[in-house]
Amino acid sequence: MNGATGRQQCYTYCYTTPRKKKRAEVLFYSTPPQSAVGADMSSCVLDEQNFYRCCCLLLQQSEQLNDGWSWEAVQDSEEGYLRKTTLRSVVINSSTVWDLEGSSSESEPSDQQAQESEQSVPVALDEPDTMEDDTDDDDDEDDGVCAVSKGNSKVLQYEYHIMYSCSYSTPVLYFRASTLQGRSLSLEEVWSSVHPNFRLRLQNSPLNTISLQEHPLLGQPFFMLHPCRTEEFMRPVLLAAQEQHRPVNYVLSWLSVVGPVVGLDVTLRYSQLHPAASISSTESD
Amino acid sequence: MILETFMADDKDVLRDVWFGRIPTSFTLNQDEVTEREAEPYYLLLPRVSYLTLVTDKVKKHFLKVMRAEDVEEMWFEYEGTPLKWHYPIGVLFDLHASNTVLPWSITVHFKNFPDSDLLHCPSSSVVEAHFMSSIKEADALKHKSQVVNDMQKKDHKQLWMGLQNDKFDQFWAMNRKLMEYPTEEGGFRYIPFRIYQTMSDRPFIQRLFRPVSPEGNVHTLGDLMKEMDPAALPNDGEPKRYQVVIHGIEPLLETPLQWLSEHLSHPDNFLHICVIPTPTD
Repeated sequence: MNGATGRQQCYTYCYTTPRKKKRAEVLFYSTPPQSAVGADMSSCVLDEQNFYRCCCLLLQQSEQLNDGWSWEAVQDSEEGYLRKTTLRSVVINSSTVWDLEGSSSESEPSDQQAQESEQSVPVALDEPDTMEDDTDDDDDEDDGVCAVSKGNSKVLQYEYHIMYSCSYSTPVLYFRASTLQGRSLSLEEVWSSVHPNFRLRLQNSPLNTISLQEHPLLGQPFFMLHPCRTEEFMRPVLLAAQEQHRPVNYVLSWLSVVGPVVGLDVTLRYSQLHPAASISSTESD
Repeated sequence: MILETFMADDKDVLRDVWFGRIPTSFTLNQDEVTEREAEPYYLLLPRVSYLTLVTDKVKKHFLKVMRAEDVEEMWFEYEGTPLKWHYPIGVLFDLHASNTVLPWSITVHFKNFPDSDLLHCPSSSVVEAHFMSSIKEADALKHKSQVVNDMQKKDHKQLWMGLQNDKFDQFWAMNRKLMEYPTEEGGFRYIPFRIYQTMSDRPFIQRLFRPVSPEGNVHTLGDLMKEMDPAALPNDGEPKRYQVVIHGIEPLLETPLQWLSEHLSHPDNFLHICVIPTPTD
């Protein structure tokens, strides 16, 4: 019920905004319409209004794909966040030693002290392939439950929130993880459950990558993926899209990059939906 | 001569903020298992630091009367409310205990860590990461991160060590760079601030706010509160229901926000503003 109301607000926000702008740019591009192709893309950031628009679209598409995203509004305001829960089967390799000293500042990858002893168990055997599962037509819910348990593999409940950071002008991902018995995962366990493909930056500076933070709207402890590097990796994505005159949903693109780091996969089926099709009939100029 | 005096006064404010202290007594939670009676421990807490950074002595004191197996992560509580170590100490005091008799009475726990309310803090590296993260966020707002990104690793370390070791000069030698701005701008790009209220579900209010309007008007503390938390301000003719408190004082609402940001920010470069009910005695 609450979700519907929140989404209603988000919907209303999307379609009744009186400002007239070029449709594609306002909905999909993060940069203002004045920044034409070839102009100086000095910042690849997202303003708050466009964040909400991108969320609207993601919600619509999620509904079509049954991907489980909902909108949670904050107390009669436009503010809110995207939310999704999933079950995941995860291997937590607790023998990894995490070097917290490297978190004191941005360490170069070549830093000696950053290359601490990573005594991981060979991953190929134990780690269930959660990446590929999502491109199946199966329900996401089935992923974790039927995976083969190999001793240190656990089924965990994840809850993801996508919010807007006005400080960095980007989306930011918060999440919490617990066992089915309700025990919250520790920060070290979360670090240890990150797929080895994404471990490099985490190993150099774990506390600057994923840390425990106070949720800015709810006040409870959540894990957060630090947003300060978002602009860096979004830049090539946005530039490429602009060059190809292809519309881009900033939030969706961003999520497809950061989500897998923390076990949240974005099904390729999103890209198969035409982004403009769902709004063309109702947009009033 | 006059200009120098003015600047000297401003520097005094920086020192007063840095060296602010809160007399505190730490009492062990009576349900903890001890081998002997635990005496309270008294400490002057720095307003601008963090609980888990300055309470090693508290821990040592109580460990003397406890067995190792009865000791888990230490946490603090005031009148039933778990205290968030990641908030500056002065903010916690102003928010929860400002109109009570000193010393501030904090209860110490070693069991049943409330992990649905508090962040874990197993080492000072966690405090350092949190502190540096706040400084970076503040600079993202003030300077699009340009100043903090131009600093070297050792400069970042200097900010942290200055706080950790209570070294005002060491800290400000570096922090003054974060307080600069192009003269033609009249101030920072946006002011880093957080407004805390005890009566709200929401942990704090933080939004974008400029120190100077597009027309060139200097924004004041009152302008900020009117925009972010109008309920905190009294209506004309009505008695004041709330106090707007920074570092334990109520600055005049006419104070320019840019000046407050430069002089009354915490070491993390944020203005932490507490809205508390006016005492009714």
